[in-house]
Formats: sequence, C-alpha cells, structure tokens
Amino acid sequence: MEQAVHAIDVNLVTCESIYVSLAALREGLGQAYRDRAAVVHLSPADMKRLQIRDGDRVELTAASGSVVVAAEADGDLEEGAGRMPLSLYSNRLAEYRPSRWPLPALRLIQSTVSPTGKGVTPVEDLLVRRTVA
Amino acid sequence: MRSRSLVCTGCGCLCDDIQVQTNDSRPILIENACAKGAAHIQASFNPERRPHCTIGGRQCGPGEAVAEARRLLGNSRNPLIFGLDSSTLSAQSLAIALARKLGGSIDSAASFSYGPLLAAMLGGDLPACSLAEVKDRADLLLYWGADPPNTHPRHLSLHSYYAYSEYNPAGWYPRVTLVCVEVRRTELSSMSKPAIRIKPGEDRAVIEAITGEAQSQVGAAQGLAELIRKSHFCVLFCGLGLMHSLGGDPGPLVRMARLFAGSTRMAVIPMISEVNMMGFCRLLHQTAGQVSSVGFKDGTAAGREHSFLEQVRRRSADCVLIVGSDPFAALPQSVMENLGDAKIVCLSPLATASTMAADVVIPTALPGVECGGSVLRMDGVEVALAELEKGAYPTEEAVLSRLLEIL
Repeated sequence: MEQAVHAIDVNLVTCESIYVSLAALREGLGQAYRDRAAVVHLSPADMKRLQIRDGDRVELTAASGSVVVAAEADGDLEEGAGRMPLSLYSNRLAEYRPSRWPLPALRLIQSTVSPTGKGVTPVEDLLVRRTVA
Repeated sequence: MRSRSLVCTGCGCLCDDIQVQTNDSRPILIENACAKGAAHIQASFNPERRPHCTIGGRQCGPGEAVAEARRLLGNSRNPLIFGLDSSTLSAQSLAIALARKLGGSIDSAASFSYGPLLAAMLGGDLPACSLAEVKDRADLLLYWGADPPNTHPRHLSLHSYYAYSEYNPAGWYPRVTLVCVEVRRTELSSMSKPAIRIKPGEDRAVIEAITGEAQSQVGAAQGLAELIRKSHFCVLFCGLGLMHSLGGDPGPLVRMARLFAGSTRMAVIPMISEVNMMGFCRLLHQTAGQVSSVGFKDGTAAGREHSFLEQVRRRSADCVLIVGSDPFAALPQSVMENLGDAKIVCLSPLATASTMAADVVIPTALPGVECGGSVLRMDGVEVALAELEKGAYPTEEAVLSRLLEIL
C-alpha cells in the first residue's frame, strides 16, 4: 500500500459556478451556499496520495489564510492541479500583492492541501468583521 | 393577474424577451429567463434577501440613514465611491457628480477586471462590434477564458451560436466555427470544435506565439492562428479568465487584432457579468478621460492610487460609499480587512457580505425589477430597463440625488 503523504502543493484554478450564484441569490450566504462553495476538486492521483475519498475534508492553506472544505476527485485534473468555485472560500486564500501581480490573484492560487478532521469552515468565519459605528 | 415584458438584469446578457406574470404584486410565472435570471427577479420579492435600513446595526428609516451617510461623507478627508457596475446610467452620472462635489475618488470593479480592455476599445485600439452584428455574420466565435453556461447562461442562445437563423433544435447547426480556449474542461469546451486546452497562466504565451513575439512555439498557437486567418469575421468573447491571466493588460490582444486586421475582420466583446460596467466606464471616460480610478481632490486625476484596491490596501480611504456592489464578497478578505477603521455606507438592493460589514445600510430598488432606467450592454448598445413592480425602496438615483442636495 502506498504511503500516505500529509500535504501536497496544488495550483488552484477558480471558476464561477452557477450553482454558487444561485445559492447566494436564493438563500444568501446560508447552508446551500456553503455546500456549493466549500469544495475543492483534486486529481484522483492526489486524492490517492493523500488517502482521502470524495467528501473527506481537507485544509487548504495559502499565503493569505486557510479554509477547510470537502474534497472531490475530478478525473480531468492532472496531478498538482486543483479547481474550486470562486467564492468567499477561495477569496480567503487569494492575495493582492501588486509588486508581484497587478490584479488580485483570485483565479490562480498556490495552496497546500492536507487532510483534516476539522469541520468545514463556517461562512460566518469568512466575513470581514468590523466594529460598525 | 397581469403580464409584463421585462429586460432581465441577472447578468450582462440583458435578455429582453422575459415575460413575467404577477398576482398581487408577486411573480407567479417567469418565462424565458434562465435559472440565474429567475432567481435574480425572485430575490427582490423575498424579504429575507433584502437588507434592513440600518445605522451601526440598528434599524432605522431611510431618511435617518441618508442623514448619517451625509454626516460620514461630509466629515471624510478622503471619501471614495465604489461600485455602480449594476446601476443605471443616471445613477452613475449622479455618483460621478457626488465624487466631484466631495473632492473624492470614484472607481468600479472595472479597475480590477475589464477596465484596461474597455479603455483600449473606447480608444479605438481594439475593434468592437454589436451582438446584433455577430448573428449570421461572424464565421468564427472564439470564447477565450469565458464560461458562459456558468456566467451568462443564455449568451449562446440569445446572442451567438444558437441565435443564428440556420440553427434548428432538430439538428441543423449554423455554419460557424465555435472555438474555446480554456484551462479546464467545461460545458462549452465539450461543444466547441476545437476546444483548445492551455495551461493556467499560459494565455499571454499563446498570444505572443501567434503574433510572433514569443521565443518558443506554444502548441495551441499555430492551429488557432490558422483558424483566425481563414475566417472572414472572428468575434473574440473575452472572459475574465483571460483578463486575469494577462494581468489586465490588453496589449497582447491589441497586437493580435492588428496582426489579422489585413485578412480578417476581428472584433472583441468583453464577457462582462455586471449589467452596466460598460456604461460606467464610458461615462467616466467622457467625464474624466479614464474608464476607472479617478480622483477629484485637486481637479481631475486618474491613476492606480485612486483605485479602490490601492486605497483599501494603503488604508487611505476613510469613508467608502458602496453603490450596488459587493466587494466584501468579490475581493480577497486579506485586502478588505484593511477597511477596519474606515466608515462604510452601502446602498444595495440585496443583503450581501458588504451590507453586513457596513456602518450604514440603505436598501434600494433593484434596477430592472423595481425601477427602470438605461444601461449599456457588454457590446455598448443602450438598453432600456422596464419596471415590473414599484417596490418600497428608494432608487439609487433618489438616494444619490438627496446626498448631492444636502452635502
């Protein structure tokens, strides 16, 4: 049996999902939004290396932060590549460093993926908290 | 029961064939709309999707909220107005006038998406065409970094591939080549012939290989160049995937369009999701000579330092008026956290991450459902919006007019 690895690096491509848009329009940032947005698609080979199955939770960590989402295999993806819907979850990982790139890096994010026993990050934890006047 | 024709403001397609039947001022049947459009129309009738009028989280009346907005904006040393991509042209004009009166800055999401591309189009560096010209005339439809089934669900059926008169659902397809350039498999790539798969971030290299600027060849470039060269009229539908990959720089596209100018008619249409980003960019261009990121502190100035992103990153804006936009959901949270000390006033028809973060929330009418007005579609064509039912909320125009009056 192949030895499990604790973490792998992936290049995450984010994309707009009509299902995330519909959930937000219909119910706001509720459960349906979380179910649609808190997902990362990984290659079957990477899923195997991490010894995880569809629905298992993984922690994604990037320079700007981390989130816990559900993992799903996608046979279309190559090793080291990931895909996730554009949402509050992906925006937690995205950064804006104009010295490196003129636009916020919303679409292509370098991240580490590791299996976790934690629950999916609640949407409330992704909202910017401010002390309002 | 009554029936109304509507222009859907659910995305940049602005579908103008929507029929809505209402009973007791509520929609009971929405015809022709896609799921996204129907959800958008229904959201305005769902009280749970509408924000409350609040000051510091306390519910209040709109008059009180406008007065507090006036106080915050009036006391601000560096006010910033942001959003307006989904506002009507008249609301946008009022917002520009307000920014001028305040001596503040004004910006929209165009500054981190299609702004530079629209500037190149308005400046004549990139050829454009209307969506009406595409139908039956274009023989090459090239979607690049765009995923219309997810962003503009009826784009192909109303404006491009399936809109050709030859198309028949029984199996006759138009004599047009549908091509997509994408980094992943999509619904569109499964129907495109060919679907050109490139690596993430490889877009510039592909274009530069086509124009001969690149040192090395990229596999996809030769075939794509051949397809464009053989076509008579190629329409490039430019998606956000392409714009982000190019870092917002339209230069490679300008050079590619010039390369083919002698042999092929090539036109660019940006796949803008917001219903009136084009209108805001054109208005600001007419007013200030720039499509985004304009400051009115000492005369009129434009540049990166006036952009929303830079002002937030540098924590220079001390009061932000957000109009019909949701930057707290659309931008990295690591950036938006920099607004911790700024005052935020949010005009929004729907409850969003931005209304949750705002000091003052003023709910407004949803353009195209609760109020009319005019907007510019992604191809620059002006579209008049109808009003389905006048709601209980003031229009953005009414709130901005009042602020202009009392500030």
